[in-house]
Amino acid sequence: MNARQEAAIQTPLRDVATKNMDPICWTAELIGRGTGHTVRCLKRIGLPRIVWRRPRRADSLEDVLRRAILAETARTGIALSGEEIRELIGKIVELLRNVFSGEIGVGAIPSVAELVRSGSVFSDFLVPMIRESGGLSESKREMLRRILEDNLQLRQASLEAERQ
Amino acid sequence: MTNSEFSASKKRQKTSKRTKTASAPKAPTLLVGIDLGTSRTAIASSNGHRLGVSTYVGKPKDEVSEKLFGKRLLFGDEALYNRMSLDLLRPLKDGVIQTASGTANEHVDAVQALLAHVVSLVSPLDNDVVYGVIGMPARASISNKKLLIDAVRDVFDAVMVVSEPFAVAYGLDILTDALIIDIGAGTMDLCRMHGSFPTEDDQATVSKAGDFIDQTLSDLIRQRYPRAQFTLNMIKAIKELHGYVSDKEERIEVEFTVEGRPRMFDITAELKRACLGIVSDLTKAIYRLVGSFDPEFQKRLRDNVVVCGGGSQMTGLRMLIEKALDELGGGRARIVDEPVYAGANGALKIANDMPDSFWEHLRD
Repeated sequence: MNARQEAAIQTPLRDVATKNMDPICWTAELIGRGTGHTVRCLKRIGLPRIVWRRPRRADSLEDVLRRAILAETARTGIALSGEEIRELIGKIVELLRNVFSGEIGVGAIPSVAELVRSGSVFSDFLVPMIRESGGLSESKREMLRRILEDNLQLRQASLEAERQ
Repeated sequence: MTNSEFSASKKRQKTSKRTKTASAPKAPTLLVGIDLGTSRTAIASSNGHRLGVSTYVGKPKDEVSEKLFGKRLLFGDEALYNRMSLDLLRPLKDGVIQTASGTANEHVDAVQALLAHVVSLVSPLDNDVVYGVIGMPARASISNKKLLIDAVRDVFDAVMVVSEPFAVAYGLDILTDALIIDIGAGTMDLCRMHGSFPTEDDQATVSKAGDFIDQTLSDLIRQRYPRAQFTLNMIKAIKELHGYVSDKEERIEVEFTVEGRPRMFDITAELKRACLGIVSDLTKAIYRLVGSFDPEFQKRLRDNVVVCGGGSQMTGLRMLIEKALDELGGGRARIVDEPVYAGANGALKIANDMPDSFWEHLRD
């Protein structure tokens, strides 16, 4: 990947838009290949075409990828933490770079769905939570106590209404 | 939808729960966090599931459709997709259960059935004790909270309700010097965090949110293109895909039919106007919460505005909020990584942190 391509991958689409350039043409220029090849790359990765075709102006490639991953996690119910999503984006960007530089062919790119599935370690999301619960700070414990108090009052009112 | 349908399922759940708790007093605990939204309900559970369901409940219209579906109730997107053969119910309005004039309320029963359904989707084991935390609008009334607890008591072994933006803050571990904004379909909820449990004064609920945008957009398009054929569901999908409040120049064209024939319609201006419709109320709520905060800490609050919920996905919203903060001396806003699950994640974290002894107080 050359310096121009490296710079282009970081370019917010807003800047692409000011050049009045179609994002597909922008990517094609970035790859140095035709638009057909570019579309095949993006389709293979599984980026929803509509998301790609109508990017938000402030979006960078990473933003577009993030949205695709979020859509996939919402669709499949597979949970990824923010950090996992960031890692995954890094992985996809790396793959794109390899495709762009011609190191790997389009067929070797896993789809976003496959990446999301392979990258899913929900326990990673829970582990810090459970670890933290061992040592609840006083302020957190107080907050939880207040929640309990509120809910006990609600429950009491509810039981009284039921009795009446 | 008749109430007897729901009541029957209620009785079944009660029976099964009694058996469950009686036979397994030391059963493993399944914790669930739920963001019960007007448009979408998200659940995260301690056994690793996380998913979202549209907040719709449908009952087959007649015996033919009941035979077709092979079940008495349909939920979420399945209900929406098959709505022509169903009596479709959207049980929440403005973030809370819709209340009818009579005592028997089909919306209450629908919420119960929906939550029983979403809990079943996270695969609880037969002997699991299920503890749930449910997020509600920040300023939901006592009666609304009570109504929800009454509705779902049979679904959980113990249940708590919390303010939705507080759950988000707790989940993200932003418990001090932050303003949380949760933009949903029914309400926009705001909560300022200052290291202690937020009081009523720390929170605000604005009942102009996603649904308001949908209705406004629908009205505006109807006004400009009276012959275009569309439904509110189509409008909602368009908003979710293209919604924006920025100064973008590209045109947004969507396909509707006119007497069955597909046509393209330019809705760029209408969409922006509709999306901007909630901004003035949002700005006022931000000004109120920041303006009434301790002046020494106002800057910290302004610099830590966290936005979540489906509405946070509108292009340009972050910049618009920052622009609004300029009037107060400037500030910074950010959109959370997982806008749709932030509430459910936080509710699960609260459930997880809640000591067992606290849960015991709430068990029947």
